[in-house]
Amino acid sequence: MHCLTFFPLGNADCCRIDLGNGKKILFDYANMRCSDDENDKRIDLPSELRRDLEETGKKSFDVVAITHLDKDHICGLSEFFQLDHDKSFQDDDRPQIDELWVPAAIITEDGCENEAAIVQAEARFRLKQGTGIRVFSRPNRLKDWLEAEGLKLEDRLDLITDAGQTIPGLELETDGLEFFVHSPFAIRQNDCDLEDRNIDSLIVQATFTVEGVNTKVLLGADAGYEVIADMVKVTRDHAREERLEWDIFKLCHHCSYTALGPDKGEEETEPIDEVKWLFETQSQSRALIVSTSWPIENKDSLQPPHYQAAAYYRRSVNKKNGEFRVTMEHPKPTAPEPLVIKIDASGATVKKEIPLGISIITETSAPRAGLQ
Amino acid sequence: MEILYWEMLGEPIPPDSLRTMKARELSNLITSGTLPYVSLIATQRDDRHDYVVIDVEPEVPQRPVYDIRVTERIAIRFDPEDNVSPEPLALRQDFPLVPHLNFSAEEFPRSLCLFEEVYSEQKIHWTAARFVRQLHNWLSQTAKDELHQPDQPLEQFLVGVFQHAILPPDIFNADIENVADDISVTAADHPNGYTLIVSRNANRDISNSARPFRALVLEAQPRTHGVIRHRPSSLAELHDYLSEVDCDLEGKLRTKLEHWKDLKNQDGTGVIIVVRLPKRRHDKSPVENVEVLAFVPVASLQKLGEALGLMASHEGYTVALLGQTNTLSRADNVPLILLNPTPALTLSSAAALNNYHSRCEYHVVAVGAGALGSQIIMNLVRSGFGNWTIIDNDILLPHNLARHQLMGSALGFPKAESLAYEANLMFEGEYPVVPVVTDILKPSDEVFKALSTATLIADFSASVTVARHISLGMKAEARRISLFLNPSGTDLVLLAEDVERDHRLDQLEMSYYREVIRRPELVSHLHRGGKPLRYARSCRDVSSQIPQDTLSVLAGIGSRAVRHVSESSTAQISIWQTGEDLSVTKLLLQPSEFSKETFGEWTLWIDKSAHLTLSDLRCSKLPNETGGVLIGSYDLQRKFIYVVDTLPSPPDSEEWPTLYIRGSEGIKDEVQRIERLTNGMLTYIGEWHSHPEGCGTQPSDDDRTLFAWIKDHLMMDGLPPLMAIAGEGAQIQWFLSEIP
Repeated sequence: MHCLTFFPLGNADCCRIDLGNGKKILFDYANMRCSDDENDKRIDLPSELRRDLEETGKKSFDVVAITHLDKDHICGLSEFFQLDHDKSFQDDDRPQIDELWVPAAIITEDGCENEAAIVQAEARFRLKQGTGIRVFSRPNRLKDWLEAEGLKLEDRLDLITDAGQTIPGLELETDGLEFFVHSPFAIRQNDCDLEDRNIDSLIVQATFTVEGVNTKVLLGADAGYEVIADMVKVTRDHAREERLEWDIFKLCHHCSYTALGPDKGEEETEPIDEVKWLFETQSQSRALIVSTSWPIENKDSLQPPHYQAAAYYRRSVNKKNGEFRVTMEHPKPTAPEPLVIKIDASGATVKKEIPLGISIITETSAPRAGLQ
Repeated sequence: MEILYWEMLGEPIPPDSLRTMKARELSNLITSGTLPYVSLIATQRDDRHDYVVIDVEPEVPQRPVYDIRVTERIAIRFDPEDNVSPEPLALRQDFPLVPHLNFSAEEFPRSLCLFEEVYSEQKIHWTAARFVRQLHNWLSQTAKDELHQPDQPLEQFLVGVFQHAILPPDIFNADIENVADDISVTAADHPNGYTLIVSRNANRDISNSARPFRALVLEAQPRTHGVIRHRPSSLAELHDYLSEVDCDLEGKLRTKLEHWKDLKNQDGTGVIIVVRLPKRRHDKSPVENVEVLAFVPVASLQKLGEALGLMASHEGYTVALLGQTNTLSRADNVPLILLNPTPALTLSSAAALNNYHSRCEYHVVAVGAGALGSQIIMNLVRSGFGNWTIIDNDILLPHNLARHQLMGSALGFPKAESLAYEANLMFEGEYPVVPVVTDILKPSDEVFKALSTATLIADFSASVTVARHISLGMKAEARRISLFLNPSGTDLVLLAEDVERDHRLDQLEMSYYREVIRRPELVSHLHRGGKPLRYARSCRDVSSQIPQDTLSVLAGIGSRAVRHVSESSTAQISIWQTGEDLSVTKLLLQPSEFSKETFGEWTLWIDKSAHLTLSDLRCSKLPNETGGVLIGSYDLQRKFIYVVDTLPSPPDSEEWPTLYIRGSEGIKDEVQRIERLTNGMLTYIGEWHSHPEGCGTQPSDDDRTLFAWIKDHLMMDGLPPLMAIAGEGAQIQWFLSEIP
């Protein structure tokens, strides 16, 4: 059995994949919680991840994938992981990253600051070392950067995977998991002068298999509808429609309407044709959409999540008898918890346990009692 | 895709207008938001019931076995008197036909069967939260088809059905295609109606049944889904259902009625209709299970015949109508009683009910069906253990009833036969016990035949003679065990041979006696209520004053001990002692190995540990000689002498390098103590002394004189003289009857 866990982090991402063979893969890491705010319902991500590592007796993640350098995907990363490029990020308590996955833009972007600069430094360090890294796409700028560092693209090709390829190192037969890369595309990056994090982000289709039953998951970073439309076109051009089939869709950009179409709409966002095809034709029976976002409120807002987009997503999965889950609403908005999805020969199952009061009481320490 | 829901009866009302406490508790719990995955949709009531309608979000996989949705709308119906469990009704119109639905009078909305316990048992721990959790769990498990336990009987579908039909287990067996209907029916009356026992067991006597019944078994074509979607209330309705699965109830009934037309008492005889509905997962997959339903039409054979137009009543006479047919529409008014179909006990299910994964198929030949034996045997049969041959020659007498497994109905009959009768009556189609009424000491061909296939021969005879005969006098490969009580009935003794029979029962018996004289805990083990006997015929005669409660405790231990023996290959001697404070203590004793020497018609069996003791004593006294008396047992019937132990050289003995004179101080008392402790089974059997280094074990002139002295004295008791000389290198030379 495999497991997917989405953490309640507000409008931010972290998804852990636990494979049946014990491998652990993390997609993004954003610790958004204000530790001094008691009412902050976002999860204490580092504690939660550390607790899981201790339970499973692991000290590292097999893969940590960073889809792009925005704060809501990397916040606090340098406080949690062991980083190879600088001794100040190294101590025994920090989990290691066996392999870091980054889109090429993370290497080539100019003017990174704060956390982004640290992540970039780590990615660059690993690429220079030629180990513990995988870079997605090879735009001209990557070649230029390598040459500036005195390296040749040819010497790093085994560390680079392009869109349209499966990622080496994980296989359906042995790991029960295969990744297919949809984005970034080098062509698009070569057309632009500057990196656009959302456009150049890492988007993959993960196919899990258990006893011959496949479960397909699309992990959309923060792509907008244009990127999705390009992805759809390219995939159709290559007659690889099955690479865009999905049982689970991690929504792009925290349920923003911008992942559907140009207009937010009054009640419901109308998707452009390619996006509509992706959500209505490519979704499988009982499809599950996960919105990694704040609860959906029924009022218009500038920032995502947009209820108009949620209305469309809900309607589209209802047609497939599926469900739409929001990380900060699961299991209830007043007390969000990690959204755990078990993947086995019955496909994906959202874990929904009604907790027992007694087991909670006996698992935790009681509040202080007595006279002060 | 729009989801259609059944309209619920009743009017919407505010939650606080609900009349039943539990309905209010449920609606309050859900509105409080304490529990995730449930939300309140409506509260309603009609003339009689309150309804709380909720949405539940169960844990459903994307590829479920049953089409349970991520959200299910459930109405919970509350009985105003709280006599009936709050009943969850699935409101989605296309809610699938799944296992564990209540078999109600209406098909829709489907009624979910959440609990196996009867409601009166649930009440003391019913909370709305537990109810919701169970409902959520039911939906989650049903989606994956993990709710149904394969061996679960169907009775839980039939809530409120009090009348049982006990049916042969093959009727529930999915591997059998057509069940023979050569079955008889017995009715057992009870205050709520009757139980019908449908059986092929020849032991079940139906000749005097006050309520005669005939059985009709119908076989439907396999289906991938359930056929009978709610409880049919009439014969015609059942016929319609069965027509869908190519099963012609009317035709079958017609044929049977024809067949039964010459039976007496047509008007007083009923029919039980057993319907087998085989189910499979997919159209081409094999049949996985069989749903069994049992009905009794409220009509006699005669009335049914009339309903089908086969017979007509005329002025008190019943006439068969030839060539006449009728359709069941006329029988529409024949109501049906639904029975709860219950499989009869099998040896395998008995094992499972005793928490054993599989049943042990040992062929056990049990000798002796007294109080202890009968209880041990029945405990084991009831746990599906073994196929039995019970050999016993006794009949059941009134004093036996105080402790015997058998009851008053068996008084005066042979114990073996009655036990077999009772044991075999528990099972349907299986006869685990075969009785042989004979004296084991004068075995019949039946006994020899049983012995030849035995895996285990168990002695429950409480007789040393029988035990010795079992150990030494019967040709059979099987290992032997013996279980008996001590004379006061407080202790149970198990002697079990190893599989190879290297430790024979008679030898284990000797090791047991040796421990009785050595261990302080066994000081009163063989004590006979203050009447020490100089020579006992038996140390196992169960006195007539033993409490049945103690005996039943020890029989329980004994039966488990037999099971343990069957699972191990080694020899063992165990004693369980019950205390005044109702505690039980187990002693595990060490079985000895024996070596054998023959002297003419006599055979000497020497406990190897006794041999070692003599050698050790010799060495400890070197360079002097030493010696002492030998303790052991005689089997004069077989001319066996068992050497079991020695007494240390008395303090007034003279021990010199070339001389030993055994003293007498304490010897008599000690021998008497040993006889008393073992009820005379162990006693003085001879003398031994040692020779110094380099002198061999050849008897000297003095030794020959000593032997003659022993002979003179033992001749007075009709026993042969025995002397042993221990020499270097642990060598011991034995002399029995005479010195060559």
